[in-house]
Amino acid sequence: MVLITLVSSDEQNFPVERELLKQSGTIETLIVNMNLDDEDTDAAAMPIPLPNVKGDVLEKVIQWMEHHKGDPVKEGDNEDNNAEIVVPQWDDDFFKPAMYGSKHLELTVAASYLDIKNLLTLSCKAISNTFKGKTGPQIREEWGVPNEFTPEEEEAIRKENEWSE
Amino acid sequence: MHGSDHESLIWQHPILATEHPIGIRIKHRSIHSSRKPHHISMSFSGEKAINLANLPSDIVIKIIEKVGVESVDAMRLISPRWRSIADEFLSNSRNLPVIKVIRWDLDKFSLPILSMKFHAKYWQFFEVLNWMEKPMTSEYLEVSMCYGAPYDDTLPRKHDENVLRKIQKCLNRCSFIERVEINEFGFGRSTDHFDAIGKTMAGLSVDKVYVWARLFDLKLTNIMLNLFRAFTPNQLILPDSYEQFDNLKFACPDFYFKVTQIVPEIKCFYVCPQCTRNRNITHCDELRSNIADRFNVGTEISYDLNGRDIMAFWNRAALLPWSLNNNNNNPNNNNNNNNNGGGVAAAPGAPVIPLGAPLAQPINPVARAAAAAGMRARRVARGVIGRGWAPGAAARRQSDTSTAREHDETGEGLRVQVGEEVADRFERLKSNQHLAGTVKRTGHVDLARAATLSDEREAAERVLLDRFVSCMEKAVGDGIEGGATEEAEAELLSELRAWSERVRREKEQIAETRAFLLARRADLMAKQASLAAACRHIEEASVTMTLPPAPRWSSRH
Repeated sequence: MVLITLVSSDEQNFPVERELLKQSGTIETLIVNMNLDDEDTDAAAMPIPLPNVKGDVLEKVIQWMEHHKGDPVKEGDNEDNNAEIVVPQWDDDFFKPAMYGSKHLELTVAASYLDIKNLLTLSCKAISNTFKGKTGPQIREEWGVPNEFTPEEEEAIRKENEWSE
Repeated sequence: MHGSDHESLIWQHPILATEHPIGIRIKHRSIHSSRKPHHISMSFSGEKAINLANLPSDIVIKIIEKVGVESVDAMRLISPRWRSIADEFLSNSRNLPVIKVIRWDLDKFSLPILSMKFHAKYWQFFEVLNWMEKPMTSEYLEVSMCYGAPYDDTLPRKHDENVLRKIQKCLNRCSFIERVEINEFGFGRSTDHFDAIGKTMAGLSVDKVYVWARLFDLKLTNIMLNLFRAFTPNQLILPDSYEQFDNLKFACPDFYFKVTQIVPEIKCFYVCPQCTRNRNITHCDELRSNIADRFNVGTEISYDLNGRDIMAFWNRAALLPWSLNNNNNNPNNNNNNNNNGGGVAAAPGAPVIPLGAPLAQPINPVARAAAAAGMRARRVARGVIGRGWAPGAAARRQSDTSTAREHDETGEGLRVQVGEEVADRFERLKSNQHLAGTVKRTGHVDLARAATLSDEREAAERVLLDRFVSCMEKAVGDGIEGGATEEAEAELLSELRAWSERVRREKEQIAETRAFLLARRADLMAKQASLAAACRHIEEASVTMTLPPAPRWSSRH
């Protein structure tokens, strides 16, 4: 079993199975281009630093990849937006503790940065599910977003939204 | 982690030659220059807590895509960045929802109605809170909105421009309309009505347009051309249109030519009565192939079949409220239809029509024709339009006399039938002659008032009943004393006498109306006789003028 070491921004090392890393387009590209798959290359001697991802977030990403080991990996960006995506129960439970906080957003950004399409899709879907049936101010309040609109701007947007009146 | 500066990240890997899929630029050097471990470094701007407002744009777009357009208005209030991304998302028509069906029609009160069917999750996006809603039978919602005053042939059209503007805004929020249905019956070829439809739907992307209409003459053809120029459908479908098909060559021969300049494809579905009599489609086949050769017009012809086969036929035209899943659904399955005893279901090589999205309520051609005939009958009853017998083409078919002259091409049969119908009506009128009395009225009769007499009668009966009930209640309340009940009885008797008098007067009025109609009929018959005589004189005169001069006999012979 080939192990490849990932190094987080806070210098934590995470030895990960080579097979798991196929889910990450970014790391896969690195591995292929650095010939880490070659037998004569010492993969253990070439840790891959990921300074964009903190240790706790990388740990969650690896945990997610371990659970989804063997899942088909999406190719390309031609995602069908009309297809209804359902977040599986395990993933829902996985996202829930960090929901409405910066950790979940960091996980999403990490998924985008590491190009883990399935994780990115499910994470965005989980975020979008929290928006359903809510107004803009309610979403801001739940997610702790400061209001960057002036009252006049907010009123103008509300009027724009009432386009049929 | 860094959100707002995400796009500006530069991955300074010294050896790799790839571009990161999310847009991070990578500097290139020789890939195979060394196999020694390399130091990989990245440069970022300062640390900043991440929140929704400073999420990278590509992630915001993904979230908005997942939320869908139905909740996008709320996204615009999260932050200015979210607002601009949401606006950009909405400006791409591919992200907008599809409307399954739009139907322009008159309701049972002759009110112009727009019905719209779309996925129920978009109800908020289309803002149809104030619209009339039909009970949901599937995941699709059907709503309708009245946009004008009741239609009346004698009055100018009145559309509510505000409502039409709202409808226009609503329609502009869709990416595509799968099916537009326009029911010309009842609109009386109103140019301004179709102008209003064209204006409201201008620039929209439409797949199929179904038009139920009386015969296309030059005026209606021009109206339709203007309409199709406004939103350019991919396909025009003329269902239940034997008369259209058969008479276009007389009434408006360049209809197909003109429409195919705008609409890429036309399809006709009809049941031909002549073919029904012949039990084959040779009658229409020549006409069909002739038109198909000259224009891009697909035609599916059938004749009166048994129930199962005719259902399959209308199913192919997507005119059933549900789709049939049996073998009859397959237009190439004609042999199977034959084996079922229904005869030939469709012309050989008839086009395959993909099933459209059926509405919650069936659009049955029979029901439509009956509704149109019923609408006309109501208008006749109100005295709004003339009382002559001139139902629409579809209604004429539904009369189902199935005589040869009814379906001939010259229209002679229709004229004969109209004559018979008029004669029959007068025969029935004459049989009630005893009601007319001896008075022959020749003055003006208020036909509109005659039509409302039954309503007045009903109202008067209701008032009488209410009074009776109140009298009885009073009597009961007073302990039913002799005097009180006698008073109530007297009151009721006087009411009844008044009512009897009223009914008598009403009968007299009706009798007067009938007498007037009879007198008018006699007058018209006299005029017809004199016209016929005049025609005969003209004919004789023309014959006389064209005859060679009579030989002159010589006195020697």
